Amino acid sequence: MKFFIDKEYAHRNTRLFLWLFVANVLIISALNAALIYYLLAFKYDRLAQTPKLFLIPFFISIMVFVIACYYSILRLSDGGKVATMLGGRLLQFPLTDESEKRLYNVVEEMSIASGTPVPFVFVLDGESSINAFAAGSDPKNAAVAVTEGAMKALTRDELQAIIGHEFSHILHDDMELNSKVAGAVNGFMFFMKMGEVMLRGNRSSSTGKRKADGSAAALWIFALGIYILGSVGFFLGRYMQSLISQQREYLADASSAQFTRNPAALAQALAKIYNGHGSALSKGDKYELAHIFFADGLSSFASQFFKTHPPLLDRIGRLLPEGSKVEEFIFEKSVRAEGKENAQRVIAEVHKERIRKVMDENPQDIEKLAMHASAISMSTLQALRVQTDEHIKISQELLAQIPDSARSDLQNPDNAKANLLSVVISTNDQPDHLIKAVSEGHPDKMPLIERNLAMIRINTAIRLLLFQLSLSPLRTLSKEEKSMTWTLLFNAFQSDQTLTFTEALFLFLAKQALMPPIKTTTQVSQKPSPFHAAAVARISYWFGLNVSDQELRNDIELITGIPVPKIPEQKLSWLLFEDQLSKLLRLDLNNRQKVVSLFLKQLPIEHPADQGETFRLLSLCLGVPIPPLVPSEL
Amino acid sequence: MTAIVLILCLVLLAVIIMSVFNKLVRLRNMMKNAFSQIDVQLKRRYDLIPNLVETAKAYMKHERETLEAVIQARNQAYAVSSTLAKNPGNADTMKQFIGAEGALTGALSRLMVVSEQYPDLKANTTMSGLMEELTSTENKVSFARQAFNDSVMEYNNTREQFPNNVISGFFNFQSAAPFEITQAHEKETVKVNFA
Repeated sequence: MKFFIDKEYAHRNTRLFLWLFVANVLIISALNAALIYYLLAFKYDRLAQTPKLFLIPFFISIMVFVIACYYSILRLSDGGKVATMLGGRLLQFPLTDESEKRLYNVVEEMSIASGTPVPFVFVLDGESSINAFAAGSDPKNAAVAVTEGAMKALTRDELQAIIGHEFSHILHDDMELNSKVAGAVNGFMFFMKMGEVMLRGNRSSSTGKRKADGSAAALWIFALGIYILGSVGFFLGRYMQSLISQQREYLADASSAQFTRNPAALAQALAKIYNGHGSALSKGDKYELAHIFFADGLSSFASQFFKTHPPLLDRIGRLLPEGSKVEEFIFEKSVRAEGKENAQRVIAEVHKERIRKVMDENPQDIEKLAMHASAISMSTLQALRVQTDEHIKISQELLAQIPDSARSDLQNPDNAKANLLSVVISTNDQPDHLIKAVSEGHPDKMPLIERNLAMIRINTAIRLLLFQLSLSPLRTLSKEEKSMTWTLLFNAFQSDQTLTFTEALFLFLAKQALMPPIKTTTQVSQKPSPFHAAAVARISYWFGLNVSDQELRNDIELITGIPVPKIPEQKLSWLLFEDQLSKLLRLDLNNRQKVVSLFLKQLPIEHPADQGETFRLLSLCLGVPIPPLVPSEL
Repeated sequence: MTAIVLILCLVLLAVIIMSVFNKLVRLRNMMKNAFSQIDVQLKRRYDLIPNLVETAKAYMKHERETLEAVIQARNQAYAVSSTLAKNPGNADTMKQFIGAEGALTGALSRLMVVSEQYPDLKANTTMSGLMEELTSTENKVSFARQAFNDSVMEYNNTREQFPNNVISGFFNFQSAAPFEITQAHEKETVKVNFA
C-alpha cells in the first residue's frame, strides 16, 4: 500500500509549491502596486496622505492574474476541443478495430476503478511514440487520448496503467490546476510585455521631442520596474509551475498504481519509453500543453528547461518495490524486448546519465563515479545474466537430455549421490579404480551411472546441470549424512591423486551446499585488498591464463585497485584453493561481478565446451550465477 | 465588540460543520455508487458468458465438462442474484451469492487457461473478441470491488478523524464495511494438464 503514502506525499508537496506560487503572485503584485503608488505620490502630494489608495493598484494587479487564470481555464476547459486541437480522432461506435475495442475496455475499467464517468476517448493517429493525455476541467467533459504507438507497443496491463495515470489527472482536477497556474504565469508575462512595450515607446518618443519635466523619467522608471518585476515573477512562476506539474505526475503515477494495483505495469510502460520508444510527439502545439501528457511530449532540447515531468528513471524508481535497482529493471526489460546488444547500449546510457548527474551534484563522489563507470564495462556480464527465451529453450533441451532414471526420484538420496559420482568419474583421469569401487558397493546404481557417463561424453554442458540438480535434494539430509556425502565426494575427486581446477570448483560447489559455512575469525574487508588481487591472479593462473600477460595484470589492477603482487605459480591444492575462493566470496556482489566479468573477457568466443563449463562453475562458486552460455552472445 | 467576535466564531463553526457534513455526504454517496457498480458489472458478465461458451463449443469438443461447469455456475449465480435482488440485505442469500460467484469465477478462469491450448480457438476472431470482453469484464468486476473498498476506506478515514468524528457521531454517519470475499474457489489453484 505504498501508493497511498506516495499520494499523500505528492499532495503535500503540491500544496507547498502552490503556496509558494501564490506568494510569488502576491509579492509581485504588491511590488507593482508600490511602484505605481510611490511614483504617483512623488508627483501628487495629496496621494501621499492617503496610503489606503495603495490598495487600488494592488487589486488591479491581482485582477490581471485572476482574469488570466480564468481565460486560460475557459480556453482549455473542453477536453474534446483540446484533444481535437492536438490532432486526436474520436473513437466512433460501433468499434470494429480490435485494438480500439481493447482501448475502450481499458478506459471503462479505469473509470470504474477510479469512480469517474467514462470520458471521450481519442486516438492520436500517426504518432509512433508512447504517450497519452487527459484534458478537460470537469470529469463530465473530459477526454483521454492515446498515441497509436502506445496502442501497438504496450501490453494490455501497460495500457491500463497509462490510462489509470490519465484518470488521476481527471479525478484530481489537474487540468484545471495546471490551467490556472499556466494562466497566472501568463499574467506575469503580461506585465513583462507591458514594460517592454512601454520602454520601446518611451525611447522612440524621447528621441522625437524631449520632455523637460520629470514625468518622462517617472514613466521610464515605471516601465523598467514593471518589466523587471514581470520577468522575475515569470521565471519564478515558470519554475514553480514545473515543480507543481512534476508533483502532479508523481501523484498520477501513485494513483494509477492504486487503481490497477499493478505498479510494475506502469514501470514497464515507462521503461519502454526509456528503452527507445520515446514519447516525443510530431504534431500539434505542445509547448503550452506539455504538462497534460503522460511523458514529456516535447523534443528533448525544449524540455530541458522547466521540465513538466520528472525524469523517467525517478518515476520508475518510485514504482518499484523498496530497495530494487532502477538500472537493473530497465536493463532486464530492455534485454527481453530488444536483445542483448541493444540492452548493453541502454545500460551504458543509464550509467552515463547517472555519471552526469553525479558530476553535476557532487563531483567529489569518486566512489559513485567509479561504480557507474565500472558498471558500463560490466554490461556484457549483466547482459549474460538476464535469462531470455533462448536460455529457457537451451535449459529445457539440456534437461530433456538427462535420462529419466537420473531425474526421476531425485528425492532418493542414493540416486542423487550416484549422479554426483558420475560427474566425479567423468572428470577423473583414472576412473577405472573409482568405477570398480562403485560397482562393488552399489551394483544397482551402475546402469544409471553408465547412462550418465555416456550422456556427458556427448554433451559436456549437461555435467554441471546434473550436478546442480542432484545437489539440491541432498540439502534435506541430516547433518551427519551431509558430511558423509561431502567426504565421499572429496575422496572420490582426489582418488586419481590430482585435483584439477574444474574438480576443485565442483567440490567447492558441493561444499557450499552440504557443509556449514566456514566461520572466519579474521575480518576480511569488503573492499578489495592485496589479498584479493593475489587471489584473482592465482585463480587466473589455475584457469589457464597467462598471469605474466600485462593486459591481464592491468585488468586485475583495475578491478581490485591494487597492483598485482608477484605470486609463485603454485600448483593447485584444495586448502589453498578454498582459501582463495572464500576470500573473493566475501567481497560484495558488485565486486564479485567485476571479478567474473574479468574472466568473461578472457573467454575466447570460440571456446571449448569444458572451458565454458569451468567459467560457469567459477561464476556459480562466486555467487554470480550465469545461465547457459549461448555462443552467439559472447 | 465581544458580540461581533462571538458571532464570527459561531459563523466559522457553522461553516466548518457544514463543510465536514457535506464532505461526508459526498463520500457516502460515492461509496454507494461504487457498490452499485459491482452489481452492474456482474450482470454484464452473466450476459456475456452464454455467447462465449457457444463459440468455444465448436472448438473445444474435449472440454465439454469445463464448458458445462461454466454454464452451470453462471445459471446458479444468476438465479441467486435474482433472489438477492428481491430481498437485499438477507445475510443467508448474500452468503449463497458469494459462494456462487466464487464458483463462477473459478470455472471461468479454468476455461481461460484451457482455451490457451487450442490454437484454432485463439485464432478465431469472434473468440478473441469475446475473450477480450471477458477479460475486461473480469477486470471491471474486481476494479468495482476495489473502488468500493477504497471509497469505504476514504469514507471511514474521514468519518473517524478528529474533529470529524464528533460531527459524524452527531449526525449518525455509520461506519461502513468493505466488500470482503473469502472464496474457497478463488483461491483454488487452476490445474493445467500438459498432455
